[in-house]
Formats: sequence, C-alpha cells, structure tokens
Amino acid sequence: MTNWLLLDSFNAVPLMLYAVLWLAMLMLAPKQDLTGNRITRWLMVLAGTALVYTANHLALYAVGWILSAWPLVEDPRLGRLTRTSMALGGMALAGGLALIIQHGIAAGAADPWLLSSLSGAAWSGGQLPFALLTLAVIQRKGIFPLHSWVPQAMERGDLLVTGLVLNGHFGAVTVARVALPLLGDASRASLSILADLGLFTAVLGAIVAVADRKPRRLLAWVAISQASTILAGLESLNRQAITGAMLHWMVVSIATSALFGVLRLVEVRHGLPISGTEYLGLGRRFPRLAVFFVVAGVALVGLPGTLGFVSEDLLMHGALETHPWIGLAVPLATALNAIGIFRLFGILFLGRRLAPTMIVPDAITRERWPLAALILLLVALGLVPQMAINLRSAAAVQLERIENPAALPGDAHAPAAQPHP
Amino acid sequence: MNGSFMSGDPMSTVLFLTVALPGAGFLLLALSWLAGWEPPEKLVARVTGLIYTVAALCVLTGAWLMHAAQLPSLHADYGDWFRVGDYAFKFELYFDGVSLPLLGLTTVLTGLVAAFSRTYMHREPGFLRFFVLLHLFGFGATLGFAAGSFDLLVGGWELVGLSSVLLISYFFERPGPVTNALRVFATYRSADVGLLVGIFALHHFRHSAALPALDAHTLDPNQATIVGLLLLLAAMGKAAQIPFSGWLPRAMEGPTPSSAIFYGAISVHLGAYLLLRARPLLESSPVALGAVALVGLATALHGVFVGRVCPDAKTSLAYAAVTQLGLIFFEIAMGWTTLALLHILGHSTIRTLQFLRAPSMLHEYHRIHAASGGQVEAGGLSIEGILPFGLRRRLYWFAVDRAHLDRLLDSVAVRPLARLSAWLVRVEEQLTGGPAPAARAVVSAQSASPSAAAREEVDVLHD
Repeated sequence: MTNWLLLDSFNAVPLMLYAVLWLAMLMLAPKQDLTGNRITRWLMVLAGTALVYTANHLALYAVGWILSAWPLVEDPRLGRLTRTSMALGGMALAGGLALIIQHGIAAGAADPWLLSSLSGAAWSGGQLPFALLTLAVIQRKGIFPLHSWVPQAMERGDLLVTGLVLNGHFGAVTVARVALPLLGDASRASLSILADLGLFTAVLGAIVAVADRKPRRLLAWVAISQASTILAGLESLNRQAITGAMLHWMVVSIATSALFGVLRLVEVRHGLPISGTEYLGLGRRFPRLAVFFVVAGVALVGLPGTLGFVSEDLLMHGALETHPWIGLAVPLATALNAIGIFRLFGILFLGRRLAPTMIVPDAITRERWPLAALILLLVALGLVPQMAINLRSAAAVQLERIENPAALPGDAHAPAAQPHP
Repeated sequence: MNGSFMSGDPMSTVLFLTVALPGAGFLLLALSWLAGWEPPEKLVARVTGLIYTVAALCVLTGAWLMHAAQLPSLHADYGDWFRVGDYAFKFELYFDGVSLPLLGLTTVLTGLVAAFSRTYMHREPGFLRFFVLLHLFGFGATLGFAAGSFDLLVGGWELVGLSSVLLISYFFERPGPVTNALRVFATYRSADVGLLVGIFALHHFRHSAALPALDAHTLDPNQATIVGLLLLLAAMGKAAQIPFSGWLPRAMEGPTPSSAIFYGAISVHLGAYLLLRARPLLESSPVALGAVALVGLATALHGVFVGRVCPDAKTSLAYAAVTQLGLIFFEIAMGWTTLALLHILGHSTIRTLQFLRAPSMLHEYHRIHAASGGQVEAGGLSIEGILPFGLRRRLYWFAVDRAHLDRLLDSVAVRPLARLSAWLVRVEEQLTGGPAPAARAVVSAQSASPSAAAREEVDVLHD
C-alpha cells in the first residue's frame, strides 16, 4: 500500500502548481459560486486531480479521473453532450487500464496494479489498450473530434470549476505516465497521430475563436487551441520540445486560470450573461482587472516578456524534426488566438460603459492578490525562465529516455529522476 | 576587426543600458501603479526624461568607445537567457553602423516625444498609461534594433506591436479607436506569421538565426527565396506597404505624440530595418529582391496618389510616410543600404516634427482662414492639372477609396476566414445546443439590439 502513490520529478511541479491555482481560484471566486453543494465540486476536482497526478496504483488513477470528471457529469445545467463525453472518456480510460492490468497478470508482473511495476517491460498486448487510452486522452484534452464538450461546459456550467477540470491536463499526464512508459513502441505511431490531431485542433480552435462572440465560448476555444500543442511537444523525442511542452502546460494553466477568473469577476459585476454583441466599457471602472486580463492574454499567446514566449520558442525549435507542421500551426494558431483575446478584451473593457448602475469596486483585495500572483509568476518566469526550465528538466530527461533510450544525458542542469514513493 | 565581448566590459555594459533603461522605466511605473500608487505627472515626466537622456548618452558613449577601439561592430554576448540541453537562447546584442544610429534616433526621439507629451497629455485620465506604454515601446524598439539574432528581434518587434495597438485604443470609450485597434492588431499578427515562420525556416535550413554570421552564402537561392519572402511579408505589415497600407490611417486614432513616434518615426521603420538585416540573405535570391523592389515602388506610387486626397492632416502625413517607406524598400532592394539608412534617419526626424506640429498647424490654418475672411487660396503646384480630366477623375476615385486595398484584403483573406469561422461556430452551436435555456432568453434579448459599436466591430473584422 505504500507504493500506491508516487511523487517524482514529473508530477511534483504540476501538483504544486495545481494546488496553487486551485487555491487562487477559490480565493477569488464569487461567493455565489461557493454555496451549497458547489464547494463539493471544487473539492472533488482537487482530490481527483491530486490522485491522477500521484497515483501509482492503476485503480486509484481511474478513481481520480472519474472523481474529477464527476462535477461535470452530475451538473444538470450541462447538456447531454458534455455528460456523455465525460462518461465516454472515463469508460475508455477504465477499459484501457483494465486491459493493461490483465496483460500484466498474464505476463507475471510482480504487482500488475502498479505503474512502477509494469513500466519498462516489453509490451506485447496489442493496440487495443492504447486505442482506448488515446480515446480517453482526446476526450479529456478536448482534441478534435471530441472537443465540443469544452465550450458547452464552459458556457453552461461553473466557469471556474470547468477551468480547473480542463487545466488538470489529464491527457498530457496519461501520455507521459501511462502510455509512453507502459506501451513503449506500441504507442509510437498512434502518439504521432495524436500529436498531429492536437496541432489540427490548435488551428481549428483558433479559427472558431475568430467569429465566436460569446466570451465563455471564445475563451474556451482559445484555451483548447493553446493547450493542444502540448501533446506534439511531449511526443517529439526531443528534450527541448518536451521541456517546452511542460512549460507550455504551466503557461496555459496559469494564464487561462487568470483569464477565467477575470471573466467570472466581470460577469458577477455585470449581473447578466454577456452576449458579446456589445462593448461593456468596463476598463475605466475596472482598470486592474483589465490589466490582469491583458497580461494573462499576451502570456497565453506567447508574447515576449512572459513565460509563453519561452515555452513556444522551445516547443517550436524542439519539435522541428518530428513535427515540421508545428512551424506553421503554432504561429498561425497563436496569431488568430491573439486576435480572439484582443476581441474579448475589447468586448469586456473597451467602449463606452452602457450600464451606469455598477458601483462595485475594481478587483478587491482577496481578488487582487491571487490574480497579481499569477500574473507576476508568468512575467517573472518569463524574464528569468531558467528557473522554470530547471524545475522541469529532470522530468524532461526522464521522458526523453523513455521515448528514446539512446538519448544522451548531456545537460548539466538535468539531474536524474528521483522517485519518492 | 569586429569585436566580440562578454558582459562586463565597459562597452557592452554601456550599450546594454540603452536597452535596459526603458525596460526598467516600464517596470517601475507599471508596478507602482499595480501596487496602488499613481505617481504624479511631474515625477513621471522627469523619470522618463532622465531615462531617455541617459539612454541617449549611453548610445553616444558606446559609439565613441567603439570608434576609439576601431571596432566597426560589436557583438556583445550576455550569456544564455535560457538553455535546454544543447539548445541555448542567447541574449546577445549586436552594435554596428546600422543599429547604433537607429538606437540613437530611438532614444532621442522618444525622449523628445515624452517631453512634448508632458504638456500635451496634461490631465488626461490616461496620462500614466500613456507613459507606461511609451516605455514599453522604447524597450521593444531598442531591443529590436540592438538584437543580435532574429530570435531576439522578434521580442522587440512584438512589444512594439503590442504597445502600438494599446495606444491606438487609448481613447477607448469611443468606438472608432477600439475597432481600428482590433483591425491594426489583426494586420500586425497576420503579417507577423511571416516573421515567425521565416525564422523557423532559417533555423531549419541554417540551424541558427544569429545576425553577425549572416552572409550571401548562408542559404541556397531557393531557401533564400522562401526565407526572404516570409521576412518581406512581416516587413510589409510593419511598414504599411501594399496591400497592408490600410492600417496606417486607422492607427491615427491614438494620441498625436504616439502617432509621431510610432507611425512617423520608429515603429514603421522596423520593417525596413528587418530588410536591412536580412539583406545578405536577399542577395542570394533575385526573386525576393525583385519582390522588395516591386512592393516598394508600388507602395510609393500608391502613397503619392492617396495622400493627395486625404481629408485630414494626420492621414495625409501617414500616406506621405507610406510613400517614403516605399522608396526606402526600393533603395534596400537596389543595394543602396547607406542611402536607405540615411533616408530612415532623415524621414523619421522630419515626420516626427510634422506629426507633433499637426495640431498647431491646424490651429494656425484656422486663424489664417478666419483672418482672410475665408478666402484662402490653394497652394502647391497641382501638377495633376496637366492630366486629362477623365483620367484625373478616375485616379481620384482610385485614390479616395485607397486603391480598394482594404476591400481587396477583406475579400481575399478576412471574409473567407470570417465565413469559415462563422460556419464552424454554427456547426458547434448546433452540436452543443447553444446556451442553457435560462440564459438563452437574456442573451437573445441582448443580441436583438447589438450596439452600434459592436456592429462596427463586426463590419471591420468580419465583413
């Protein structure tokens, strides 16, 4: 039982970051989002994500996955599409893991339920488990063709909770912790298709964001688009791209959390659903919220001075050989996403203020501090990125060796991975 | 003899300060505001004046030290900004006969515009915002001009674009600046794809994007054509060359001092600077060189015609700038790089003066108009009078609609993209069922009466 959870160089930073994001979102969440059983949803998402990040036991992994998806499955406001999609993703994951366990038993593994016990052995169990895991990854990550649940859940459900579910990045976690170490070569060809689908989704999401005017949906498209390139980096066999993907994971999580947070605060101040057909003109009234939005937005689309610039630079340079299309897809997607973010900024903060009734203040203290912390994190790590790179380099080396055992260490900043069961 | 120095020696330290000081000014003012303290106007203006005075002196000192050491160029390596395995993003600056004059021009003109703005922007609600963005621009421009690699140049390039757009929407309560800022931003970002993909291609072909080692034999002709045309696309966007020239009059919505420094002086010349730096690559590609010359000449003619029918002073100046930029592109294509550099310096200076004088000029014109009892005669040679009336009328229509370029861009790029996007939105909404029933009524009520501003945005971006 002592081996059921595992904390190592791969999951320690995402776990810490996720906890910080969860706390920041909780601090700035409007009180109406924390009433009744809604707080239960927050706790379920946190517990589920922590379990998925740290699980060494495959049953715990599945439990964490389902637990974090449950708030979306049981939310009556969400449509059938989201609920079915989340259920499908959960079942696909459970099925894939069950087949892996069955194969482990047949192969005489010491403990077929443990990831650490199964990894490293040559896989001869066929492609079905990987197909099921791929399905789960595509669904959870919001990759084409199973992406539509994200804008629906964002639009209809709790914005901050859905944002936290999305920012778990379980697709990336599953690829890095389960698919690559356990299935090895069996996963190579399919992972490449998965990465290409991710790049396609990046462009598709960015194109849809050009015309979608509803703020929640627009932000959902931009988030999907920016997050989709992570898989291409993780699967690239190259340390720069893997590190870039891990940094991009951080950027997308921090920046979209800040953007979702600001949007939610604007919504409760506005008092009505925002259609996006008119400028709200809130910049004069809420200048700090406007600045938080701009900085998080430019970080998300990789403008210089933020961590987004560094992550995209590494991602593009590293994935050059394995995914040449990344050189076209990422600049195109980020250009369109930047236009989408600026449009949304215009809708929320520019123009003449229409409703004179808002006497609520700009970001109050409990909102200002978490947002300022997230923004400063993006900028500080963007100016001094080596700190963030060093935090992820051991995990990048670990993943590179799994993907490409012939890879040489060759990096003074990259200590060997140190598992801490 | 060219110099290559590590951080720490006096020359590279002094020149580093040229870039670092505007960045420090931006951080200082932005963080103080974020912390809840809005510094008084006088302090903001004094700090800004001090920063650009010291920065200009740094350029001067650095140039003098280089001259004394008989160094035609200085490649200053400040170490790795970040490193992963064998890939390092170096923070290296490159000073030579091209970058030093432009750095001097940037620091001097930005300082002068800041001094002018102290009075011009007095008691404007966004006084501090203006100066924060001016510092961001100063940092971006100096970084762009001093960058030792195309990778770092992108950093400065993007910051200049961002500050430019935020200043266009400075008067954000009016719908015009907001919609025009969006259009300018969309143009910038679209053209910037050329820069990013071009640099990506350069890495792919050459495994480096460092400026000092760039020469005519870096790439074979086909590779040079690909990279050259991509960089030309980026330069065209930044320098408002056809077919992108339509963004420049839209950018005049910002305060006059920002129009002066961005669109009269520094920002628009970044495109020409990019081509000056890429000139060794262009030499390997007759196709790319021909394209630069063609774009430059066509833009110069376009600017001449359109500028003559502009109804307001700032737009007229904008098209005069477009004309000169077209000529600078042509000079670069012809290989007259020294002339192009002198042209940039002279044009920036005179155009900044004209932009800053524009409000006073209008005021003076109104006084003269009133003093003469409304009988002011048209001046100038009006050489178009020698053309037949029919041709003049056609040219007038052509020029009034700005050569139909905005419509062309709309029909070729913007509208197809918007239609595709709108179709995808409809498909997705049918798939997801739209908003929850409770919210649908409210949203549809709001959608039924979109504001004029929102309609205008849709017109600008989608239609």
